[in-house]
Amino acid sequence: MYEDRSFLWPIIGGLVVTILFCSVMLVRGTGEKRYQVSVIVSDSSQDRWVPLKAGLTQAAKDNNIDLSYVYTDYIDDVFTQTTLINQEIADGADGIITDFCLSMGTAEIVRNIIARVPVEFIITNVDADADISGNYATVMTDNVEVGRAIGNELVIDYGDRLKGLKIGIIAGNQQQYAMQDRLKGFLDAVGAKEPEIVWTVEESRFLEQELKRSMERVTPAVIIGLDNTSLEAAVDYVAASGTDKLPLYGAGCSEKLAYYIDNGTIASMILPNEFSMGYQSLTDLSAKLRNRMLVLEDREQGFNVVHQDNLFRDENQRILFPIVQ
Amino acid sequence: MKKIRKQAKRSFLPHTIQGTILMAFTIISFVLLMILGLVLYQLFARRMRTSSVESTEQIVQQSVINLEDYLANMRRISDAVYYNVIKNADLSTDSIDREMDLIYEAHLEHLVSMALFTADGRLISASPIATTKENLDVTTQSWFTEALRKTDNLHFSTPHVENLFLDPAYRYRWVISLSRAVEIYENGTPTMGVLLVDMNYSTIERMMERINQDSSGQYIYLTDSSGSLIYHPKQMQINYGILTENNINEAHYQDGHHQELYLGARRQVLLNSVSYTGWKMIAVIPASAYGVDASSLRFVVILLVSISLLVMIFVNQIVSRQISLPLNRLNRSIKRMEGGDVVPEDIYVGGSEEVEHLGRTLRSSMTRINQLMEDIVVEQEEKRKSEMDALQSQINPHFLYNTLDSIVWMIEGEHNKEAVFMVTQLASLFRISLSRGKNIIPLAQELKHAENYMNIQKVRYKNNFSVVFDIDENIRDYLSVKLIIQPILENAIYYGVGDMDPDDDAEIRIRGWLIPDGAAEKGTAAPGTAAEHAQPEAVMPAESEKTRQPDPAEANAGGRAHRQMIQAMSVGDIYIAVSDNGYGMPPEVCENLLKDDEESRKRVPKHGSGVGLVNVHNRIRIRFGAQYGLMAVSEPDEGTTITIHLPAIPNTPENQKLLESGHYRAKGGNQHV
Repeated sequence: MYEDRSFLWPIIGGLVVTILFCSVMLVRGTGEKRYQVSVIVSDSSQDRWVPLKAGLTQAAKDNNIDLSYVYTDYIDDVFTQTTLINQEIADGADGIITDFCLSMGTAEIVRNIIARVPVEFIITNVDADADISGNYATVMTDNVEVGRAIGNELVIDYGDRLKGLKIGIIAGNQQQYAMQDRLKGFLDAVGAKEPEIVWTVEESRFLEQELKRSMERVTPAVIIGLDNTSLEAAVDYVAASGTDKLPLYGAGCSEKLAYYIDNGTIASMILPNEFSMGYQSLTDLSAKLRNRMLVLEDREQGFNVVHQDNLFRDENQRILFPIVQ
Repeated sequence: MKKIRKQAKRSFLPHTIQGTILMAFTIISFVLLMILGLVLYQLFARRMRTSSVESTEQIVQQSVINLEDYLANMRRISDAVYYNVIKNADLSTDSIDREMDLIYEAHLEHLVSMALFTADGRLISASPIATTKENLDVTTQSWFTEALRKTDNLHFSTPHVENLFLDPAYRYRWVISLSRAVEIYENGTPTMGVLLVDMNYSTIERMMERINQDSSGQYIYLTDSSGSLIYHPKQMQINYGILTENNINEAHYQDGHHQELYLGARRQVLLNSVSYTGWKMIAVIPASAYGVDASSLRFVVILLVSISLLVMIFVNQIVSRQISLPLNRLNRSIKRMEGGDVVPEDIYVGGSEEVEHLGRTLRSSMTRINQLMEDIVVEQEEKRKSEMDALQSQINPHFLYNTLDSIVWMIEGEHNKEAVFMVTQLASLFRISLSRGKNIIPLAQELKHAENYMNIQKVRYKNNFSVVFDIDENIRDYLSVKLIIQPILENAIYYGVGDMDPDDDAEIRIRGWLIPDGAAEKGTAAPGTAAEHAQPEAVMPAESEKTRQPDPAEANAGGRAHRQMIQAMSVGDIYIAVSDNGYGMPPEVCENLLKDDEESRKRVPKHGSGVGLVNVHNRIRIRFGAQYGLMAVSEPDEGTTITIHLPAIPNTPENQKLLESGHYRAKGGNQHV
């Protein structure tokens, strides 16, 4: 009789396991694990990050990611940045998106970080060892092309008058390959016309003073700002000094710069697609977190050329003003 | 193959009633619950899909009503500005800034700006007062051209960034422009103008975001009549080409439900038009949207079915146990009955009517069987007693014949003294033989009987042989079947020493000893024990299969009780060995000495009646059991030893009475021998 009931034990065992499994699934839900990704960029509350942040937010929503957009001040020290990254990893970040303030000599730092979590570098590429595990990649615009596009705008507007034209360049953070490339691209584009580069100022905590000193030393006919910070510094100087007629060229994406395009202060601006940069970097990172075998790939984002006439075209206004106010 | 199937069937199928019922109930419960679960799942899943569509439809309808209400409000604002302000003013002399500001302030939450332009694009008035852009040309903007193209209508643009005024705070706001052609008066002359009300797009966006909170994958978006997106929850992804939407086609669907296959995915589309504007509110429910809820439902159904099945198994177990318990009890009774340790009253009677009837029938059958067995036992006992009586009657004439033959011989030889001695001894012999009709006598009497007999024989054989009695005095107080030594002595004389010369020192030696219980195992047996007297060649015919006689006492269940009773009365073993140094006999003769079949009788030469040893052997076995009896050992020209093995039963009136009756009742039982 005892043996005859023995056929029940596997059934009862199976049923108990099924009940437990279903209960757990109902309580916990069938949702996938939510990964946490931290974003660390310099001076994170700046308006210039609004499109990037909008792209990140949208990607986080689409990919079910907990996004931690870290508040930072101006960062010009890669070790400070590394400390922040390590802190985020210690706090449970599964992936990192960052804009390194330094591109050269970063191989060891990168190796140390990607050994723990996958990393997406944005804005600029950095020195890093070859990575067969595909744990890092860069999402950025073709910065040589951006520089060349700024130069081309100048060539279009000035033509042969460019020869000998005094140009002041605010060259951004030249510790980054991205800014070096932009400068190189710009010089390539205008080089044939032989303008006179009267000064070049690099980004630093004392940019405003250095710009002022340079302007006092030699007042150029055109000021070039190779990135958002540089171009904003230029418009700030122009607005403050009342030299309204000094044409500004450069690259950027903040609403402040849109305003100065709108009022004619900025003659032309290269608008990198930073919404897409944010969206793509987080989407790729999310895919990597869900499939560790996946290899992160470098991606290139496009850019638009914006001036007063086309500022409010659909394709530009969506990039410049991603947030509805 | 058939065999394997049969074996598998035997291994997996239950062997008991409870197991069979349990398995049948479990399988039926499982199948029924599975069917029920599937039906429930299908019903609920269908209901869920229907209610999901209905709920989305309600949301869309409600949202369209809210949107229409909001847009009607905007139109009313436009009407208020037009009919209450513009129509009542001659703009060449009157300023309408204050009135427009008042209306703007009253609807600040929903408005970004209001402006009035002449047909050639000149700004007449705007609220809030702001810096207009240099070189502002509104005549190329779509809201302006549309207003002048269809002057009777109000026109709603798609969302765009407000671009008429410069905001020093660098604020650019998304608006939907409501424009209309208006009639304005300047110097009393009516001319055409365009009134622009820029509605804050965030109001519509918030409204749409509220109804797009569903995480299952369904979403609602808004297009204008041509399909251009006004709101889409993934507007940016669409703008950047990351995602695509079927908005252009869907905007041209009729209001209502539509099924479509888009990018390989089946989805349901609900479409509602927003009155007056031509906008379309479109709800998209992908097939996968049901998946999340369906998955939860699936777990709920599996959980319910599993719990129900578990409960059913326990209920089935209780029910099957209730049904099979009386049968199992009855079965246990039958098993005990087979083991022989149950009385009819112990047989289970109970349970359902059928089982109770079976129990009663079995109980009455067992009572009758027991009665019949008792009858058989009594019959067997009677038969055994009559056999013993027959054996007894065989010995008396045999002995008497021999003795009288000796006395006749003495009288003929005028040996009167010896004859008197012989008659005296014979009288003593017969007194013991009679023993008042008893078959069980003390060994002292039996030995006395043997001495009488040997005295008679010694006289008869002129003391040609000597007789030695070497008897342990202790054995005299034990009981024995009577007349068991004398036939052996008789044989020793006839076949052993009777015909030997007086000079051959012929001798018959009778030895008796006792081995108490446990003495042999402990190795503490007294001198003259079995160990000492054991002869390797000895044959115990009683233990030999060939020579074993059917024992009436063993033929029924009472045999066991008989053996137990003898063992209970016995305190050890008694051995009496009768040895002679006569001619001995060959082994084949010795082997058949104690056999009672016809073949053995032919082989063994008999003297007199020829039944002496076999007679004694059978009597001992019948009375005490098959383990007792005679053992014979012989060597040609060396001699023969016949050993009697008896239980050591103390000579008490109770034991004698019990053995004499040959009718024992086991302790606590009712077995008969």
